[in-house]
Amino acid sequence: MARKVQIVCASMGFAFVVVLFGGIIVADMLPPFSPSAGAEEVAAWYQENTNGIRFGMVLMMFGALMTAPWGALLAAHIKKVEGEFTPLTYTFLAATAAGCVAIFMPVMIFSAAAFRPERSAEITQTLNDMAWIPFIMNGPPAITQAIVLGAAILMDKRARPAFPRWAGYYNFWVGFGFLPACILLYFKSGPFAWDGVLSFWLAATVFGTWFITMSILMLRALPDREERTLTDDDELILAAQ
Amino acid sequence: MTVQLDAPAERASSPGGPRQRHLPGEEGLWVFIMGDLLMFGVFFGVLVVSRAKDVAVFAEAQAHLHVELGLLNTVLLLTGSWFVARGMQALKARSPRRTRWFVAALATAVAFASVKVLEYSLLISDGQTPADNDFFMYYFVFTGIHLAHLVIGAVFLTVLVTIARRPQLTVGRFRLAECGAVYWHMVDMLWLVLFPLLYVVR
Amino acid sequence: MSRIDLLFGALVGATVLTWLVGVESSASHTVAGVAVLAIGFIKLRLVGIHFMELGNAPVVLRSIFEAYAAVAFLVLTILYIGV
Repeated sequence: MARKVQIVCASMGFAFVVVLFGGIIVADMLPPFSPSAGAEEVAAWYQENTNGIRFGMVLMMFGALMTAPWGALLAAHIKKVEGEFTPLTYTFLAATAAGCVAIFMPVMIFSAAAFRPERSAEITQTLNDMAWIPFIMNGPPAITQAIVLGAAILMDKRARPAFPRWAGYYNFWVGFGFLPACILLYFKSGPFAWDGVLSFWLAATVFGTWFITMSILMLRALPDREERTLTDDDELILAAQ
Repeated sequence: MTVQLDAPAERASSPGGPRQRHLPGEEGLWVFIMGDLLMFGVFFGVLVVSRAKDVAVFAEAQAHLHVELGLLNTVLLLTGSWFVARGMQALKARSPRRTRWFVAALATAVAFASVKVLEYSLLISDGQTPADNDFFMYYFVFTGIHLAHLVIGAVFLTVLVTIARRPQLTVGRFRLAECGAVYWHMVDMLWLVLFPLLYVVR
Repeated sequence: MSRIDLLFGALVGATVLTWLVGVESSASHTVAGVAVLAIGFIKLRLVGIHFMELGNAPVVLRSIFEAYAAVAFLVLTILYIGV
């Protein structure tokens, strides 16, 4: 069973990327709505795409929680490295939980914005800001996950480590990739704005490929198949004639 | 143990002999190094493209920069890289003077950071802030990210100093020293392109 | 004087050249700009090959680095000239 659970948890990384980016596309959020747009323009976008946004948000809401099993399996791997005393594992789990919220919370606000799109434009614009800003600026949970995971991979001194050492350095680099988005509050246009080359496109690419890469590495680190111990359920009812 | 230790050291430092190829540091480190070079490559591209959109504003803003301080910092980083390269040679040769090269490199790191802080304060007291125009926004953000890399590099240099000070050099510590040296050279490399793009190219 | 010392001298010389070409000379901005970028990338490559010891590294790694330096320089130059 352990092996099958691991396969499901690891594969959640693929499912997450498909569902999250699928939701983003269904909601017509690719490319992202410009932060320099006026209130009327923002309101019009919600009025014209109401149902697409609503459906996209339902998808993304489920997508957010798919990061939980993915993170839990990584945490279990970190625990193997740490042994009895596991502060890195706990930090990673806390950051994974924060990462769920970091996606879940803005999705709920997008949903509220798309619930009554006919309201006055300024209010819709406020909701739009409240959703986009945390959605893109939410680097720290993922940065913490990447650094903790990277450190754990490099600390692995077992004869057969779960992950290759390059994956440790790769995680540090991933952490760097989420940094530019942290200063998006200062910009309404350009590469650091929430729809910019560095804050959005670079971060989104790094984020998506990170989930896929770690999923593949976790599948490669699966334990060997075990012989099943036979139980009552395995007793033959009919034998072949 | 000694045999194993000499092996990587000799491979890396035999100019005349049969040159066996040697990977500095460890394989995985290069994922990070090439990834970081790639990321800065994107930064450089962003800078050139934004400049083309607003040549006049960029030229006007660039004139406020202190080119001499930028040149001084370039020379400081090159010197630091040279010190580290000499230090690695001395470390492999177990030269008694190995530690001072890394201490000297650490001094160039501190000097670079001091010059950078001086530059920032001169610009800000002159009324040039990141909020003024796109040029200064890029200038402060990109040099700031580079400065953050330099600070991490300085931490690596202190590790190099402690490794050099130990009487014994193990395979693991030598590999760690190589990782530190490679990272420090990368900090130098990034500045070698960032400097002309920000200060000189018009 | 070892190879590394000579290289350090050359790199400082190239830095002075950057200043002469980019700041002091009367060449057109575009010509000076491309020249300065070229000097920058040549310095980057020299630091990689000699200080980082990539010259003696496995061929794959060295090739990736050389390709990075060449492609980054070309792309930046094209973006700069605005073809």
